[in-house]
Amino acid sequence: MAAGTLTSPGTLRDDATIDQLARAAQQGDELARARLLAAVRPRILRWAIVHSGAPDDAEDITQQALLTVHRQLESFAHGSRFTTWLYTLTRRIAADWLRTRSRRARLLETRGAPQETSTQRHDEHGRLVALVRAQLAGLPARQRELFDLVDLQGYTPLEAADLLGMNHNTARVHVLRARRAVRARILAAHPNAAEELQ
Amino acid sequence: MNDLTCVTARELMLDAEPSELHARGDSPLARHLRACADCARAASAILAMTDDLAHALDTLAAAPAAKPRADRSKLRRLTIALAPLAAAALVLIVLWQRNQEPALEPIVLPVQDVPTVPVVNVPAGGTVAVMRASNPNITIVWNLES
Repeated sequence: MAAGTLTSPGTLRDDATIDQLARAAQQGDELARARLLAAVRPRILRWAIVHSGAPDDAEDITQQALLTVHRQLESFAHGSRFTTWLYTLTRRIAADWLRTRSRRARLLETRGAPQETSTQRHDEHGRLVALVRAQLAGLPARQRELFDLVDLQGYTPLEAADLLGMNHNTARVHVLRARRAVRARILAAHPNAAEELQ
Repeated sequence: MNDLTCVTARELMLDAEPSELHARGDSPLARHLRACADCARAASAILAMTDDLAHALDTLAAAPAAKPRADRSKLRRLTIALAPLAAAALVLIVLWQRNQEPALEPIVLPVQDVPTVPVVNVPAGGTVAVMRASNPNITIVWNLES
C-alpha cells in the first residue's frame, strides 16, 4: 500500500489551502470562514470516528468541534500548523464527549434501559459503521489515529507524528502495534490462517 | 518456494510494509508470497480488508450531516426551549381558572319553606330585639338573654 493510494489526498491533505482560509477568516473574511468550516468538516469527522471508535457519536463530536473552531478561530496564533491545532481541539472534544457518553451509558445500564446500536441498522451506512467498529475495536485511541493516518490515508509516520504533535519514534511504535493488532484479527478470520498462527 | 515457512511468513505479514504484502520487491516475505498461493491469499485478505476500512472511513467522513440525528437534536433543543414557556402557560391557565370560579351562590329557600309564623320562643320575662330588614319577608329576632 503506497502512501496516498487508499484515499483521495486532495480532499483531506490540502493543508496549505486550509491555512490560507484560516488566515483570511481571522481577518474577518466571512466567506473564507464558511469555506474553512466546510473544508475541515470531513477531516474532523474522520478524526472523530477514528478517535472515538464510535461512528454514531462522530457527527455530534464534529458539530461541537466546528462550533468551537468558529468561536475560537481568532485565538489560533499560527504557532503550529492549523491542522495540528484542529486535531488537538477535536481530540479534546471527543474525549469530553466519550466521558459524558460513558457516564450516560452507566446510568442507563443501572436503569436497565436498552441501548440501540448502529449494528442493528441494515443499510449501507450501518454496514460501514459495523466494519469500522469491528476493525478498530480494542485499539487505543492513539493507535487508531496513527493507523488511520499512515496505513489508511497514506501519510508517512513522520508526517503523522508532526500532524499530531508527537515524537516520531513513538508514532512509529503506535503504527506498528496497531497494524499488528488489525492484521492479526484479519488473519484470524481468514480460512487456514488461524491454526497456522498458533 | 523459498526457505521461509508459512508460519513465519504469516508472522512477518503482521508487520510488513504494504508493498511487501503486494509481493513486490526481493524481501524473503515477498518471495514467499510469490511462491505460496495460501499465504498470498492471506496477504490479499489483509490488503482487501484494509482497503475496505479505508473506503468505509472515506465514505463516512464525506457523508453529509446525518439528518435524523440533527432533527432529533433540533427537537430536543426545541423541547428544552419550550418547556419553561409551557410551564408558565400552565400557571396562567390555573390562575385564570381560579379567577373564573363563580362566587358562592346564596342559598335561596323556596318561599313555601319559610315559616309564616315566627318560630322563636322567648322565655317569659326575656328580652329580645326585633329588627326588620328592608326586605319585608325578613325579621331578625335577637335574644339578648343568652
